[in-house]
Parts: sequence; C-alpha cells; structure tokens
Amino acid sequence: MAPRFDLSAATWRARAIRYVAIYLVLALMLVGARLLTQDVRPTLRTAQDREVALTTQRDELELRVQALGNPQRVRDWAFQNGMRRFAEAPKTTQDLTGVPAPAPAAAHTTLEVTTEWK
Amino acid sequence: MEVKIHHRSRLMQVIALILFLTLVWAYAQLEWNVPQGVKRTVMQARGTITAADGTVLARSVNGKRVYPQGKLAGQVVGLMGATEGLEGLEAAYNRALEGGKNLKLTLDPGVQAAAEAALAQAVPKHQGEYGSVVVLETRTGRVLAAASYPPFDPNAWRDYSPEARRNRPFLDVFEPGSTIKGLVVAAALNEGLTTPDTVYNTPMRRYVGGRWGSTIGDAVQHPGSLTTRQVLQFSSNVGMSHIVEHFPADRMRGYLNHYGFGNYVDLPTVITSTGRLQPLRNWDELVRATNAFGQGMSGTNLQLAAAYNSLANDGLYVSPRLVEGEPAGERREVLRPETARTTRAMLQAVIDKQIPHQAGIKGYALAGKTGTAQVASAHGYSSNLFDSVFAGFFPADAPRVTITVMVHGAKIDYHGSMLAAPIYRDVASEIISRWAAAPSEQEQPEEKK
Repeated sequence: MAPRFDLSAATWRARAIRYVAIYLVLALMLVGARLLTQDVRPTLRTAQDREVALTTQRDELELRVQALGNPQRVRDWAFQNGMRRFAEAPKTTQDLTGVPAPAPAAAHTTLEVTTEWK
Repeated sequence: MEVKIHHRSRLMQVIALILFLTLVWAYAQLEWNVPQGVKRTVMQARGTITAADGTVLARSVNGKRVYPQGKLAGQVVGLMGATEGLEGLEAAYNRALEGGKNLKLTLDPGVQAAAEAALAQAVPKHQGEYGSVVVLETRTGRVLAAASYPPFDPNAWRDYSPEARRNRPFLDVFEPGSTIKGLVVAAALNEGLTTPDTVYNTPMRRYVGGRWGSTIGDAVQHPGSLTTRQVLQFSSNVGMSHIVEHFPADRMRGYLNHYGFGNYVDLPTVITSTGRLQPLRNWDELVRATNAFGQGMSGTNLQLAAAYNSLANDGLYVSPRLVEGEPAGERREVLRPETARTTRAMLQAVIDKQIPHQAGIKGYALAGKTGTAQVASAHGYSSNLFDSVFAGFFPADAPRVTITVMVHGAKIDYHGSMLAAPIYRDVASEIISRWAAAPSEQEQPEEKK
C-alpha cells in the first residue's frame, strides 16, 4: 500500500510561512548576536597591536638593560668612582679582641672497647 | 579603420612599457635588497649567543641582529651580513644558529672586559699596533677571555677595517720568543737533561752551530755562570743553548709538538691558525738553539696559552674550549706532574726575583715568563719591530687560571717586562679580586709595618 502525501496548496502555504518565519528569526538572532559582539573584533585588533607594541618595547628595554649591564661600562664607572681592586688594596691583619677565645675542647684520651662473645 | 588600428597599437605600446617597467622594478628590488619578509624571518629565527653567565652577546630583535654588549668580545662573536654570518662565531656556527640553536660560550664577561680594558689602556700608551690576551681555566681549558685590540663593535661593522674584525688571539701567528724558555726548560727537566741547580758557563755571547752557525747573544746583563733557575730569571739565550745541547732534535721537537705548536688546535668548528715548527730534517744545532728561545718557530696566542696551561695543569695538555656542549678536545700528558711543579716554582721565582712590580701582586703567588721577540720578515729579523709577550698562571702552587699576552709593534718600552707583563698583572689582579682570594700568610707581617 502506497503512502499518502498531503500535497494540498494550503499545507504548502503553511509550511512556507513557517519556514520563512524560522529563517527570519534565525537571521534576526544572527544579526543580534553580531550586534551584541560587534566590539569584539576591533578590541581584538587593538589588543594585537598593543601586544606587538609591548613586545617591541620589552625587547628594546631588554636590550637597554643588557647594554647598560655591559661589564666594561660597569667597570669604568666603578673605577671613576674610586673602586680599588681587592688584590691591590693594602691589607692588614689584627688579632681579634673583645671576645675571649673559647677554651679548646678536652681531648678524648680514654678509649672504651666492648667485646661481645657469641 | 586606419585610425582605430593606430589607437590600438598605441595602447599596446603603453601596456608593454608598463609591464617592462614592472619587471625592472621587481629586479631592482631583488638586486638592492632581499625582499624584507624573507630577511626578517631568517633573522628572527636565528639563535642567540650568550656568555657563560647568560650575558647576551648576540640576538635577534624585530628582524634585526643586535649585539647588546657592543665591543665586548666583538671579534669572537663576529658579524652578520644580510642573511648569514660573515665572521667569527656567527660565520663558524652559521648553520646551527640558522636552525634556531642557541650558543653558550665559555667566556666570562668580567674577565673578558678586564682583558680588553688592560689592552686598551696599555697598547696605545706604548704606541703598539695591536694586541691580544687569552685567559684559560686551567683544569678544563675553557677560554674565559679572548681579547683583541683594537676593539670592534659588530653593531656598526661597516665602520671598522677588516683588521679590527680579526679575532687576533686565534688567528695571529707570531714567534713566542723567550716565553718558550719556560716550556723548553720543563721538557729538559722531564728528560733528565738538567736540574734547577745545574750550573752553566754563560758568557754574554756564544757561537753556535759549526760551519753554518751563528752568534747568539743575551740582552740582560748577568754573571758569567748561571744555574737553570737563573737562566730563566735572566732570560739567557746562551744559557738555553747549553741546556738543550744534549737534547735529541726529534725529542725536543716532539715536546714542542705535544705542547701544541705546529698542530691544529682541537677546537671544533672555530677557525684558528696553526703556526709552524721547522720540519725535523732542518733541525741542526742552530735550529735547536734558536727554538730553545722561541725563534724560528711560531704559534698563536691561543696555542701559547694552551702550552703554558699544561705547565699549570700538572703536565696535562687540555685542548681549549670555547663553546659549551661541544665535545671536549684532546688531552695528553706532556710532562710528569713533579716536573710541572718544579717548573712552576722556577717561573714564580722569575716574577718574584726579576719583575715583582711589573708582573707580581703583593701577597699572591704569580708565575710567568716574559718575551720580547724581534719580528721576522722576508729580510730577516727587524731591528725596530717587536712582539712583546708574556705567559703565566696563578696561584703558582695550584694554578686555576693561565693568561697569555701579546702586543705587536710597540714603539715605547716594548720589552715584555715593560708592556706585556703589566697587562698580565692587571688581568690577574682583576681575577684575584673577583675571587676575593686571601693573600698568603708570609706576606702579612710585612703589611703590618
């Protein structure tokens, strides 16, 4: 037995209206969503730009720190400000005073041996 | 009809001209500079070069190669062309760096800065042409500093002459002069040919070498007889000719060879020179005598440093190393440990007795030997062009660091003791200060006064 289809004009009209309505609602939702999130992309773009700028800035600052930490510069600066090398500085020695030296610990002179027989 | 065809041909001419000009423009772009995008990515992906403590010596920033430390170790690091390394490590390790691999060097920026500063101060003062310093860590052979003068900044390499870019301690070959005496005496001791107290008859001049011989002479006034110890102290060429008198040529040449002279330096990838020893068939009495005071043979400052380092390292030669992670080079025993120790004591006496102010630091045991070598040219030895050399290590009893210095072409006070020795002293002082090593006990009562 063959199935019976409802192919009347009224049914088609109802379907058409339903589908157009669904389409309109979906389209509206899409536009709405786009409207609500319209700032995302520009924000992303500016964030990306800022990231690039900050990366550049970080690299440049890193470079400056590395260049400023140059041992030649630091050394020259230190000598200009009166640094003297430890090896060449005159050194004096002095006995420690004020704090009496602790008495040397008594040496262990006795030796105890325990023998256990099994 | 005719007019129409005329218009069309004009139009086609114009189009052809535009196409041709586009081609010219594109070609010009290629010719004048590599397309920016390619260059940028190649540069950006290139690895960094850092010193032992992490100090960045070369890196890529925003598609450009920069050298944050400027002139520090400029000649060692080398330089970059448009897309690839042209000199120094940038060229030697171009493939690895291109692949994004980072290089970590053994250089200590503090020591390197001290060595460069000492050269920059002394060489112009003595009107020298150029100079170099090598500092090695004794036990490992790690290169702590490889300094060249005049300085070179790879950031602005176009402003410098090719001579300034030369990594001199690795490339410049010179005759080591009297510094070799310390090494030859050690070899003679090791062979049992002499002792520190063997006495030699030492006039100021002596004829050596039979029929094709020559007269050799001494520069420093000294008594008519000297012990081996004193031969080193007075740097007597005549004395050296006596010490090596019974040294078989092949043995003595073998020792020099083991010290690394006339050999490639076993340093992977990095470009170094070799210098030369005379072939054994040329070794007669005169060659043996002149080699005993560092003439008629040559090497680089790096080779001299590695050779002296084997004295410092109890007779064990270790190949220098510049890049961390590379396989360690060859090691070989050149001298017995006790021979090395005896020689070290003799070299300490050279500084303590002869040049305590030029090369010594009060309270610290420094050892070393000066050299003043006339520069050999096509017409024999020049009478007014000298290499001022010093090789030494410290602390003398248990060395941690070996330093060699070479300055070429100084006009004022060009003697090794006047020019190279103070540079050695300067660098040694800086290193000892960084260690904050306590001075030796014996010196302290003197300081108390």
